[in-house]
Amino acid sequence: MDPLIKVEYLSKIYGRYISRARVTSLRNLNFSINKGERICLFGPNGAGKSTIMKAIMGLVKPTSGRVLINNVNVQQSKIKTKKMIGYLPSDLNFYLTTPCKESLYHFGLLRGLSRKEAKEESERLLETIGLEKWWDIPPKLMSSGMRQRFSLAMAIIGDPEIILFDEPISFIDVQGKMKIYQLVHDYVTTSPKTVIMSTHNIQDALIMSDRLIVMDRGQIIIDGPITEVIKDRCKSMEIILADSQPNYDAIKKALVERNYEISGRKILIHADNALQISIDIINQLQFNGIPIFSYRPFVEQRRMSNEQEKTIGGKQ
Amino acid sequence: MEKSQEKNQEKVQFFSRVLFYLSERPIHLEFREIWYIFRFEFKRLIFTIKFFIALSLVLLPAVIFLNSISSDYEALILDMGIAKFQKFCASGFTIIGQFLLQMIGIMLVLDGFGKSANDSMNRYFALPVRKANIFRGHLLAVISGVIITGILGIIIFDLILWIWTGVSITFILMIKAFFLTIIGALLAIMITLLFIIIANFFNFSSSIAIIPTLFLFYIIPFLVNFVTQFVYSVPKAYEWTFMYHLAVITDFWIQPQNGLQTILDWKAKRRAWLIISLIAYQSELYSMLIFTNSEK
Repeated sequence: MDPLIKVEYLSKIYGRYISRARVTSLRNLNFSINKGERICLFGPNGAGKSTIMKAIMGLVKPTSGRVLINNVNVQQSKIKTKKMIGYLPSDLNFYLTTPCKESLYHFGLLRGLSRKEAKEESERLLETIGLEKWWDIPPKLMSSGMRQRFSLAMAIIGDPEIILFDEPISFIDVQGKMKIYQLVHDYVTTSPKTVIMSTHNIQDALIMSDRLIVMDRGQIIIDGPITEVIKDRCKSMEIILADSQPNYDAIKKALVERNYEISGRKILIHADNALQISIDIINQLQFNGIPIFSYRPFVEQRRMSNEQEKTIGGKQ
Repeated sequence: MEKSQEKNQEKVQFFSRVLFYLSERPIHLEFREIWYIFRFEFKRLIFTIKFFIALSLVLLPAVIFLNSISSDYEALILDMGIAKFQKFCASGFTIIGQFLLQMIGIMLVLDGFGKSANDSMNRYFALPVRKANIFRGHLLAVISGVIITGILGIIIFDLILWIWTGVSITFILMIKAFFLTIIGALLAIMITLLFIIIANFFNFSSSIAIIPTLFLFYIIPFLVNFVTQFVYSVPKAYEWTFMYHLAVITDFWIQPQNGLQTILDWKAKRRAWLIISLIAYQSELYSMLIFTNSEK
């Protein structure tokens, strides 16, 4: 069986023609996604998660390589492929001042539904996400959790086959998150969908996906079933501190009973379940007044990929 | 040999892409998309407090014009006769209303395509809708807003003029005056749009983008006009301003047979029409090209 989504030799360099400062966002990525898979792209900010999402949507033009959906090149047939995709961006995907029903109805029409279908679908979705009472009310009067739920409805109207969630629940409380998880779970189990989610929170990944792709600096460093990745493949976590001269005593206090190495601003934490405990460790450090700049999974594979990248660069 | 083969291949690819683009969807779907976006954006753009405040300015042409002729309008009617006075009033509205409509046009373009609107426009990009249709839908909403203001402006102007002087301008003159104010506003919209799209492309603030429009439409004509009062050799320079060409078009259509009308030859009038329409069209075309090709 052919995979639903195929990413082949995908590279993206921003600022190629206009700006002298070039940023390499994706480096020669290759992976495929089968129908019905639930994938999480995991990595720190700047890892290239959103760029992959946008490349799948056809919103960014790859510098090299291509993305195929059902063996159709996304860049060559954007409308056809976009019909199959529902996209929930990290920022709001609706107008704050337009009433909910109107926005949903409008998006439904643009997704190709007939007037009747768009009306029925928007009513049904608002009921499903528990916002039926907010029918005529603009989202600016909603809480951030409600807006996120409404955003979800906007993404799934028209029943797309593939759903992309670009850090969808990054700024809402735990209860709000659980509600979103539940809604997504219900939605994808009632009619099997392919879900691709990006996050930098491993707990979100654990709940929402069954395959984990760990990314760093535009490369895939680990790709496998989530339980396997967490248990077996990622044994270290690299944390970069915000201070150039960190308070070592406070770090020692925060990381008591942990196996770690420290050099300058970098802390390398070793544990069997390094990804799983990353959030706890970050909370501990922040609780002890140690500001964090970024964190990323650390695996030997990363060094190999750098070498690979040099070879690819040479070829180009 | 290989190079020529590659070139041929590129040509074939290009034409196959054009054919693919043309045949991918039936044309009625394109219109449907534009209509849906236009309808939604029109409601969003028009039913805002900002637009209603701007709309309240439709009284302005009537107030300014009547204020300028209030002391001697009876003498003017007697001197000119009703027909000429009607033309005089219509051209007065055109001059004042043009400025008003240009301002409202610039405001609506900023609302529809400005930085924050550009961010919110991203939501359309994830939908199976052509970027060109998103652009067209938004532009149509802006133009419709200006047209509504223009129609209201001329109707209110005529109503107040009739109440004040007892003379009402003819229906044909109303249409002409409306049409001429719209031309100036369309030109301002297209030029501002181009600058806003360029500003968005480079991630600059879109409010900066109205500065070139202000220069092109108001500051440069004013300076040139001002300098011509003192320097004999400069008057020709005024012919290079948009305001001059808009004035040429206006005089040609409405004003009583005097002033600029008698001096200008057909060539100048044709040139003015050509310049205005070509610049408006080119600006729109380039805006759409940049908009559809930007990765946002």
